Amino acid sequence: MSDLVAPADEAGIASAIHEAMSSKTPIAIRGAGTRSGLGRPVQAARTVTTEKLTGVTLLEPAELVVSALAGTPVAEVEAALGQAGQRLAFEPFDHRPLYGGNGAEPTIGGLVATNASGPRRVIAGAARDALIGVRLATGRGEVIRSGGRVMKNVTGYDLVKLACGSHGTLGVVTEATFKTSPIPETEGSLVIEGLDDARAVAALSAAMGSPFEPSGTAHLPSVDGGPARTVVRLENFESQLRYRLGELEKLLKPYGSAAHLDREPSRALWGEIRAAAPLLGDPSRAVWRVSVAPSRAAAFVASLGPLVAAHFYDWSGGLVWIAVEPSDDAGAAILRPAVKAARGHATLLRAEDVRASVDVFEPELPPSRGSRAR
Amino acid sequence: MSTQFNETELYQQMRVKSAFDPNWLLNPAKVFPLSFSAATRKAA
Repeated sequence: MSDLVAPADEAGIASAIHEAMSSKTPIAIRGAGTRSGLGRPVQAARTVTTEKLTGVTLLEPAELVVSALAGTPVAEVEAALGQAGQRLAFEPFDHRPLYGGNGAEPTIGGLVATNASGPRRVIAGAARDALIGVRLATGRGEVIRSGGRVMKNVTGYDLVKLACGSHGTLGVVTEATFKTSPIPETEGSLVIEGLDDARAVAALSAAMGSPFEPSGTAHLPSVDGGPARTVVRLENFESQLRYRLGELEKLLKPYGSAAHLDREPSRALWGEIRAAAPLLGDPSRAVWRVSVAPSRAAAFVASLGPLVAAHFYDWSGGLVWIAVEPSDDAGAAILRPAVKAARGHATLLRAEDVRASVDVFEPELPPSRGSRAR
Repeated sequence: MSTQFNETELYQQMRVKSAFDPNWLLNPAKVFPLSFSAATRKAA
Protein backbone atom coordinates (compact mmCIF):
# COMPACT_ATOMS: atom_id res chain seq x y z
CA MET A 1 0.00 0.00 0.00
CA SER A 2 1.43 3.32 -1.04
CA ASP A 3 1.42 6.49 1.05
CA LEU A 4 -1.86 8.32 0.97
CA VAL A 5 -1.84 12.10 0.72
CA ALA A 6 -5.19 13.80 1.23
CA PRO A 7 -4.78 17.56 0.79
CA ALA A 8 -7.56 19.71 2.21
CA ASP A 9 -7.68 22.15 -0.70
CA GLU A 10 -6.69 22.77 -4.30
CA ALA A 11 -3.43 24.48 -3.35
CA GLY A 12 -2.56 21.38 -1.35
CA ILE A 13 -3.18 19.16 -4.40
CA ALA A 14 -1.02 21.42 -6.57
CA SER A 15 1.83 21.47 -4.08
CA ALA A 16 1.64 17.67 -3.65
CA ILE A 17 2.05 17.33 -7.42
CA HIS A 18 4.81 19.93 -7.45
CA GLU A 19 6.65 18.03 -4.75
CA ALA A 20 6.20 14.76 -6.67
CA MET A 21 7.53 16.45 -9.79
CA SER A 22 10.68 17.65 -8.02
CA SER A 23 11.37 14.22 -6.58
CA LYS A 24 10.22 12.42 -9.77
CA THR A 25 7.82 10.28 -7.74
CA PRO A 26 4.96 8.78 -9.76
CA ILE A 27 1.66 9.37 -8.03
CA ALA A 28 -1.71 7.72 -8.34
CA ILE A 29 -4.66 10.12 -8.50
CA ARG A 30 -7.78 8.99 -6.71
CA GLY A 31 -11.17 10.27 -5.71
CA ALA A 32 -13.01 7.77 -3.56
CA GLY A 33 -11.47 4.80 -5.38
CA THR A 34 -14.77 3.28 -6.50
CA ARG A 35 -13.55 3.07 -10.12
CA SER A 36 -9.97 2.02 -9.42
CA GLY A 37 -10.47 -1.30 -11.23
CA LEU A 38 -10.58 0.63 -14.50
CA GLY A 39 -7.50 0.75 -16.71
CA ARG A 40 -4.10 -0.72 -16.01
CA PRO A 41 -3.03 -0.88 -12.38
CA VAL A 42 -1.05 2.26 -11.49
CA GLN A 43 2.47 1.67 -10.20
CA ALA A 44 2.98 4.58 -7.86
CA ALA A 45 4.82 5.26 -4.66
CA ARG A 46 2.17 7.66 -3.47
CA THR A 47 -1.53 8.23 -3.85
CA VAL A 48 -2.99 11.73 -3.91
CA THR A 49 -6.68 11.81 -3.26
CA THR A 50 -9.24 14.56 -3.77
CA GLU A 51 -11.59 13.08 -1.19
CA LYS A 52 -11.24 16.03 1.19
CA LEU A 53 -12.23 18.58 -1.46
CA THR A 54 -15.96 18.40 -0.95
CA GLY A 55 -18.95 20.61 -1.40
CA VAL A 56 -21.27 22.02 -4.02
CA THR A 57 -19.77 25.43 -4.74
CA LEU A 58 -22.37 26.83 -7.10
CA LEU A 59 -26.00 25.85 -7.61
CA GLU A 60 -28.05 28.13 -9.80
CA PRO A 61 -31.12 26.24 -11.02
CA ALA A 62 -32.35 29.29 -12.95
CA GLU A 63 -29.12 29.24 -14.95
CA LEU A 64 -29.08 25.42 -15.27
CA VAL A 65 -25.62 25.14 -13.81
CA VAL A 66 -23.93 23.38 -10.91
CA SER A 67 -20.32 23.35 -9.69
CA ALA A 68 -18.77 21.04 -7.14
CA LEU A 69 -15.31 20.28 -5.82
CA ALA A 70 -13.79 17.04 -7.05
CA GLY A 71 -14.29 14.98 -3.91
CA THR A 72 -18.01 15.72 -3.63
CA PRO A 73 -20.05 12.52 -3.84
CA VAL A 74 -22.05 12.32 -7.08
CA ALA A 75 -25.07 11.43 -4.94
CA GLU A 76 -24.75 14.69 -3.02
CA VAL A 77 -24.74 16.72 -6.22
CA GLU A 78 -27.69 14.77 -7.58
CA ALA A 79 -29.60 15.27 -4.32
CA ALA A 80 -28.94 19.02 -4.37
CA LEU A 81 -30.06 19.18 -7.99
CA GLY A 82 -33.07 16.97 -7.26
CA GLN A 83 -34.37 19.49 -4.74
CA ALA A 84 -34.37 22.03 -7.53
CA GLY A 85 -36.12 19.57 -9.88
CA GLN A 86 -32.99 19.09 -11.96
CA ARG A 87 -30.44 16.41 -12.72
CA LEU A 88 -27.29 15.57 -14.62
CA ALA A 89 -28.83 14.57 -17.93
CA PHE A 90 -26.13 12.06 -18.92
CA GLU A 91 -27.23 9.72 -16.12
CA PRO A 92 -23.79 9.15 -14.50
CA PHE A 93 -22.64 5.55 -14.75
CA ASP A 94 -22.00 3.96 -11.37
CA HIS A 95 -18.99 1.63 -11.45
CA ARG A 96 -19.55 0.24 -7.95
CA PRO A 97 -21.54 -2.88 -8.87
CA LEU A 98 -18.95 -3.67 -11.55
CA TYR A 99 -15.95 -3.48 -9.22
CA GLY A 100 -17.72 -4.63 -6.07
CA GLY A 101 -17.48 -1.24 -4.38
CA ASN A 102 -15.25 -0.30 -1.47
CA GLY A 103 -17.89 1.26 0.75
CA ALA A 104 -17.16 4.76 -0.55
CA GLU A 105 -19.35 7.03 -2.67
CA PRO A 106 -18.26 7.78 -6.25
CA THR A 107 -17.08 11.37 -6.63
CA ILE A 108 -17.51 14.13 -9.17
CA GLY A 109 -13.78 14.03 -9.92
CA GLY A 110 -13.96 10.33 -10.77
CA LEU A 111 -17.00 10.91 -12.92
CA VAL A 112 -15.15 13.55 -14.93
CA ALA A 113 -11.96 11.49 -15.18
CA THR A 114 -13.85 8.52 -16.62
CA ASN A 115 -16.51 10.41 -18.62
CA ALA A 116 -18.99 8.10 -16.87
CA SER A 117 -22.19 8.32 -18.91
CA GLY A 118 -25.27 6.13 -18.77
CA PRO A 119 -28.14 4.99 -21.00
CA ARG A 120 -29.47 8.52 -21.56
CA ARG A 121 -26.34 9.38 -23.50
CA VAL A 122 -28.22 8.53 -26.71
CA ILE A 123 -30.32 11.65 -26.32
CA ALA A 124 -28.59 13.86 -23.76
CA GLY A 125 -24.93 13.39 -24.68
CA ALA A 126 -22.06 12.18 -22.52
CA ALA A 127 -20.67 13.58 -19.29
CA ARG A 128 -18.18 15.39 -21.50
CA ASP A 129 -20.99 17.21 -23.28
CA ALA A 130 -22.50 18.46 -20.03
CA LEU A 131 -19.16 19.45 -18.55
CA ILE A 132 -18.65 23.14 -19.23
CA GLY A 133 -15.84 24.11 -16.89
CA VAL A 134 -13.01 22.62 -14.81
CA ARG A 135 -10.23 23.65 -12.54
CA LEU A 136 -7.29 21.39 -13.08
CA ALA A 137 -4.01 20.89 -11.24
CA THR A 138 -1.60 19.98 -14.04
CA GLY A 139 1.36 17.64 -13.92
CA ARG A 140 3.56 20.72 -13.43
CA GLY A 141 1.80 21.48 -10.18
CA GLU A 142 0.08 24.50 -11.69
CA VAL A 143 -3.62 25.23 -11.40
CA ILE A 144 -5.42 26.17 -14.60
CA ARG A 145 -9.03 26.94 -15.43
CA SER A 146 -10.73 25.95 -18.62
CA GLY A 147 -14.27 26.73 -19.72
CA GLY A 148 -16.56 28.47 -17.29
CA ARG A 149 -20.17 28.41 -16.29
CA VAL A 150 -21.81 29.13 -19.61
CA MET A 151 -22.15 26.87 -22.66
CA LYS A 152 -20.88 29.53 -25.04
CA ASN A 153 -17.24 29.85 -24.30
CA VAL A 154 -15.12 29.85 -27.41
CA THR A 155 -11.89 31.48 -26.36
CA GLY A 156 -8.75 29.36 -26.35
CA TYR A 157 -8.45 25.60 -26.41
CA ASP A 158 -11.29 23.57 -24.96
CA LEU A 159 -9.17 21.73 -22.39
CA VAL A 160 -12.37 20.93 -20.45
CA LYS A 161 -13.32 18.28 -22.98
CA LEU A 162 -9.78 16.94 -23.06
CA ALA A 163 -9.67 16.55 -19.28
CA CYS A 164 -12.95 14.65 -19.26
CA GLY A 165 -12.19 10.98 -19.78
CA SER A 166 -8.44 11.43 -19.36
CA HIS A 167 -8.37 9.13 -16.30
CA GLY A 168 -6.26 11.56 -14.32
CA THR A 169 -3.37 11.35 -16.79
CA LEU A 170 -3.49 15.02 -17.83
CA GLY A 171 -4.06 16.60 -14.46
CA VAL A 172 -6.11 16.40 -11.31
CA VAL A 173 -9.60 17.81 -11.65
CA THR A 174 -10.23 19.88 -8.54
CA GLU A 175 -13.58 21.43 -9.44
CA ALA A 176 -16.11 20.78 -12.19
CA THR A 177 -19.06 22.74 -13.55
CA PHE A 178 -21.94 21.03 -15.35
CA LYS A 179 -24.89 22.08 -17.38
CA THR A 180 -27.99 20.62 -15.73
CA SER A 181 -31.43 19.82 -17.08
CA PRO A 182 -34.96 19.65 -15.65
CA ILE A 183 -36.27 16.29 -14.48
CA PRO A 184 -39.25 15.28 -16.66
CA GLU A 185 -42.57 14.79 -14.89
CA THR A 186 -42.61 11.05 -15.39
CA GLU A 187 -41.27 8.15 -17.39
CA GLY A 188 -42.43 4.86 -18.84
CA SER A 189 -41.02 2.07 -20.98
CA LEU A 190 -42.15 -0.31 -23.67
CA VAL A 191 -40.89 -3.89 -23.52
CA ILE A 192 -41.01 -6.31 -26.43
CA GLU A 193 -40.14 -9.87 -25.56
CA GLY A 194 -38.49 -12.62 -27.56
CA LEU A 195 -36.59 -10.71 -30.26
CA ASP A 196 -33.22 -11.96 -31.48
CA ASP A 197 -30.30 -9.51 -31.32
CA ALA A 198 -30.41 -8.27 -34.90
CA ARG A 199 -34.16 -7.78 -34.88
CA ALA A 200 -33.96 -6.03 -31.50
CA VAL A 201 -31.35 -3.56 -32.70
CA ALA A 202 -33.54 -2.85 -35.73
CA ALA A 203 -36.51 -2.19 -33.43
CA LEU A 204 -34.45 0.09 -31.20
CA SER A 205 -33.10 1.98 -34.19
CA ALA A 206 -36.66 2.42 -35.49
CA ALA A 207 -37.62 3.86 -32.10
CA MET A 208 -34.64 6.22 -32.14
CA GLY A 209 -35.59 7.33 -35.66
CA SER A 210 -39.13 8.18 -34.56
CA PRO A 211 -40.26 11.63 -33.37
CA PHE A 212 -41.10 10.29 -29.89
CA GLU A 213 -37.72 11.01 -28.28
CA PRO A 214 -36.70 7.78 -26.53
CA SER A 215 -34.25 8.48 -23.70
CA GLY A 216 -33.09 4.90 -23.39
CA THR A 217 -32.92 2.02 -25.88
CA ALA A 218 -31.53 -1.30 -24.67
CA HIS A 219 -31.77 -4.99 -25.49
CA LEU A 220 -31.34 -7.61 -22.80
CA PRO A 221 -30.93 -11.06 -24.38
CA SER A 222 -32.42 -14.15 -22.82
CA VAL A 223 -30.79 -15.30 -19.58
CA ASP A 224 -31.47 -18.71 -18.02
CA GLY A 225 -34.43 -19.42 -20.28
CA GLY A 226 -36.17 -16.12 -19.51
CA PRO A 227 -37.40 -14.10 -22.48
CA ALA A 228 -35.14 -11.59 -24.23
CA ARG A 229 -36.34 -8.06 -23.51
CA THR A 230 -36.09 -5.09 -25.83
CA VAL A 231 -36.72 -1.90 -23.86
CA VAL A 232 -37.43 1.67 -24.93
CA ARG A 233 -37.78 4.43 -22.34
CA LEU A 234 -39.65 7.68 -22.80
CA GLU A 235 -39.62 10.61 -20.36
CA ASN A 236 -42.03 13.51 -20.53
CA PHE A 237 -45.15 15.14 -19.09
CA GLU A 238 -47.80 12.59 -18.09
CA SER A 239 -50.24 13.45 -20.91
CA GLN A 240 -47.48 13.58 -23.54
CA LEU A 241 -46.00 10.35 -22.32
CA ARG A 242 -49.20 8.38 -22.68
CA TYR A 243 -49.65 9.60 -26.24
CA ARG A 244 -46.06 8.92 -27.21
CA LEU A 245 -46.00 5.44 -25.69
CA GLY A 246 -49.15 4.61 -27.65
CA GLU A 247 -47.76 5.92 -30.92
CA LEU A 248 -44.45 4.20 -30.41
CA GLU A 249 -46.22 0.95 -29.66
CA LYS A 250 -48.00 1.20 -33.01
CA LEU A 251 -44.73 1.99 -34.78
CA LEU A 252 -43.04 -1.05 -33.23
CA LYS A 253 -45.97 -3.39 -33.99
CA PRO A 254 -44.02 -5.15 -36.78
CA TYR A 255 -41.49 -6.27 -34.18
CA GLY A 256 -44.02 -7.64 -31.72
CA SER A 257 -46.53 -6.47 -29.18
CA ALA A 258 -45.15 -4.28 -26.43
CA ALA A 259 -45.90 -4.35 -22.72
CA HIS A 260 -45.94 -1.05 -20.82
CA LEU A 261 -43.79 -0.42 -17.77
CA ASP A 262 -45.00 2.33 -15.45
CA ARG A 263 -42.74 4.85 -13.81
CA GLU A 264 -41.43 2.77 -10.91
CA PRO A 265 -40.72 -0.53 -12.69
CA SER A 266 -39.25 1.46 -15.57
CA ARG A 267 -36.98 3.32 -13.19
CA ALA A 268 -35.89 0.09 -11.51
CA LEU A 269 -35.08 -1.58 -14.83
CA TRP A 270 -33.09 1.39 -16.15
CA GLY A 271 -31.29 1.59 -12.83
CA GLU A 272 -30.03 -1.93 -13.53
CA ILE A 273 -29.05 -1.11 -17.10
CA ARG A 274 -27.24 2.01 -15.90
CA ALA A 275 -25.04 -0.13 -13.65
CA ALA A 276 -24.53 -2.91 -16.23
CA ALA A 277 -26.31 -5.20 -13.76
CA PRO A 278 -27.47 -7.73 -16.39
CA LEU A 279 -23.82 -8.86 -16.66
CA LEU A 280 -22.86 -8.92 -13.05
CA GLY A 281 -24.08 -12.37 -12.06
CA ASP A 282 -20.66 -14.00 -11.90
CA PRO A 283 -17.98 -11.70 -10.39
CA SER A 284 -15.10 -13.79 -11.77
CA ARG A 285 -16.02 -13.00 -15.37
CA ALA A 286 -14.13 -10.35 -17.30
CA VAL A 287 -16.24 -7.50 -18.66
CA TRP A 288 -15.74 -5.69 -21.97
CA ARG A 289 -17.43 -2.53 -23.13
CA VAL A 290 -17.53 -2.20 -26.89
CA SER A 291 -18.64 0.76 -28.99
CA VAL A 292 -19.71 -0.20 -32.49
CA ALA A 293 -22.16 1.05 -35.12
CA PRO A 294 -25.61 -0.28 -34.11
CA SER A 295 -26.07 -1.80 -37.57
CA ARG A 296 -22.97 -3.97 -37.02
CA ALA A 297 -23.56 -4.79 -33.36
CA ALA A 298 -25.45 -8.08 -33.62
CA ALA A 299 -23.13 -9.50 -36.29
CA PHE A 300 -20.16 -8.46 -34.18
CA VAL A 301 -21.43 -10.36 -31.14
CA ALA A 302 -22.23 -13.39 -33.30
CA SER A 303 -18.67 -13.32 -34.68
CA LEU A 304 -17.29 -13.81 -31.17
CA GLY A 305 -18.99 -17.21 -30.98
CA PRO A 306 -18.72 -19.11 -27.70
CA LEU A 307 -16.43 -16.48 -26.12
CA VAL A 308 -19.49 -14.51 -25.01
CA ALA A 309 -20.76 -15.74 -21.64
CA ALA A 310 -23.32 -12.96 -21.30
CA HIS A 311 -24.03 -9.72 -23.11
CA PHE A 312 -26.49 -6.90 -23.60
CA TYR A 313 -26.89 -3.84 -25.78
CA ASP A 314 -27.41 -0.22 -24.75
CA TRP A 315 -27.58 2.94 -26.88
CA SER A 316 -29.72 1.03 -29.43
CA GLY A 317 -26.82 -1.31 -30.13
CA GLY A 318 -24.08 1.34 -30.15
CA LEU A 319 -22.77 0.03 -26.86
CA VAL A 320 -22.28 -3.69 -26.30
CA TRP A 321 -21.51 -5.04 -22.85
CA ILE A 322 -19.83 -8.44 -22.96
CA ALA A 323 -18.88 -10.77 -20.14
CA VAL A 324 -16.39 -13.57 -20.84
CA GLU A 325 -15.16 -16.43 -18.68
CA PRO A 326 -11.85 -15.59 -16.98
CA SER A 327 -8.75 -16.56 -18.99
CA ASP A 328 -5.14 -15.48 -19.50
CA ASP A 329 -6.07 -12.66 -21.86
CA ALA A 330 -9.76 -12.15 -21.03
CA GLY A 331 -10.54 -13.16 -24.61
CA ALA A 332 -8.55 -10.29 -26.14
CA ALA A 333 -7.03 -12.52 -28.84
CA ILE A 334 -10.50 -13.18 -30.28
CA LEU A 335 -12.20 -9.95 -29.34
CA ARG A 336 -9.68 -7.37 -30.54
CA PRO A 337 -9.59 -8.54 -34.19
CA ALA A 338 -13.40 -8.84 -34.19
CA VAL A 339 -13.71 -5.28 -32.89
CA LYS A 340 -11.33 -4.11 -35.59
CA ALA A 341 -13.34 -5.90 -38.27
CA ALA A 342 -16.52 -4.27 -36.97
CA ARG A 343 -14.70 -0.92 -36.88
CA GLY A 344 -15.50 -0.56 -33.21
CA HIS A 345 -13.70 0.35 -30.04
CA ALA A 346 -13.30 -1.87 -26.98
CA THR A 347 -12.31 -1.34 -23.38
CA LEU A 348 -11.66 -4.17 -20.95
CA LEU A 349 -13.47 -2.79 -17.93
CA ARG A 350 -13.05 -5.62 -15.49
CA ALA A 351 -10.37 -8.32 -15.35
CA GLU A 352 -8.58 -7.92 -12.07
CA ASP A 353 -6.07 -10.73 -12.60
CA VAL A 354 -4.96 -9.96 -16.12
CA ARG A 355 -5.41 -6.21 -16.54
CA ALA A 356 -1.71 -5.62 -15.97
CA SER A 357 -0.77 -7.76 -18.97
CA VAL A 358 -3.58 -7.17 -21.49
CA ASP A 359 -4.23 -3.99 -23.46
CA VAL A 360 -7.12 -2.63 -21.45
CA PHE A 361 -7.78 0.30 -23.77
CA GLU A 362 -8.14 0.14 -27.54
CA PRO A 363 -4.63 0.00 -29.02
CA GLU A 364 -3.63 3.43 -30.28
CA LEU A 365 -3.29 4.24 -33.94
CA PRO A 366 0.22 5.24 -35.09
CA PRO A 367 -0.47 9.02 -35.35
CA SER A 368 -1.68 9.27 -31.78
CA ARG A 369 1.22 7.14 -30.56
CA GLY A 370 3.47 9.71 -32.24
CA SER A 371 2.01 12.71 -30.49
CA ARG A 372 2.12 10.87 -27.18
CA ALA A 373 5.82 10.22 -27.63
CA ARG A 374 6.41 13.96 -27.94
CA MET B 1 -7.19 35.72 -24.61
CA SER B 2 -5.06 37.60 -22.12
CA THR B 3 -8.16 39.01 -20.43
CA GLN B 4 -9.73 35.63 -19.87
CA PHE B 5 -6.64 33.55 -19.19
CA ASN B 6 -3.61 34.09 -17.02
CA GLU B 7 -0.06 33.36 -18.06
CA THR B 8 -0.03 29.81 -16.65
CA GLU B 9 -3.19 28.94 -18.58
CA LEU B 10 -1.90 30.45 -21.81
CA TYR B 11 1.38 28.55 -21.59
CA GLN B 12 -0.52 25.33 -20.89
CA GLN B 13 -2.58 25.85 -24.04
CA MET B 14 0.53 26.67 -26.06
CA ARG B 15 2.07 23.39 -24.92
CA VAL B 16 -0.99 21.63 -26.27
CA LYS B 17 -0.41 23.28 -29.64
CA SER B 18 3.25 22.26 -29.50
CA ALA B 19 2.24 18.63 -28.95
CA PHE B 20 0.27 18.58 -32.20
CA ASP B 21 2.30 21.10 -34.18
CA PRO B 22 5.82 20.96 -32.74
CA ASN B 23 7.25 23.37 -35.33
CA TRP B 24 4.41 25.90 -35.05
CA LEU B 25 3.81 25.77 -38.80
CA LEU B 26 0.02 25.90 -38.72
CA ASN B 27 -1.49 29.38 -38.36
CA PRO B 28 1.30 30.43 -36.03
CA ALA B 29 -0.12 33.94 -35.52
CA LYS B 30 -3.61 32.81 -34.55
CA VAL B 31 -5.29 32.22 -31.21
CA PHE B 32 -2.37 33.18 -28.97
CA PRO B 33 -1.36 36.82 -28.44
CA LEU B 34 1.79 37.32 -30.49
CA SER B 35 3.72 38.79 -27.62
CA PHE B 36 3.04 35.66 -25.59
CA SER B 37 3.81 33.13 -28.29
CA ALA B 38 6.89 34.92 -29.67
CA ALA B 39 9.40 32.98 -27.60
CA THR B 40 7.73 29.63 -28.23
CA ARG B 41 7.45 30.29 -31.97
CA LYS B 42 11.09 31.27 -32.17
CA ALA B 43 12.22 28.19 -30.28
CA ALA B 44 10.13 25.88 -32.52
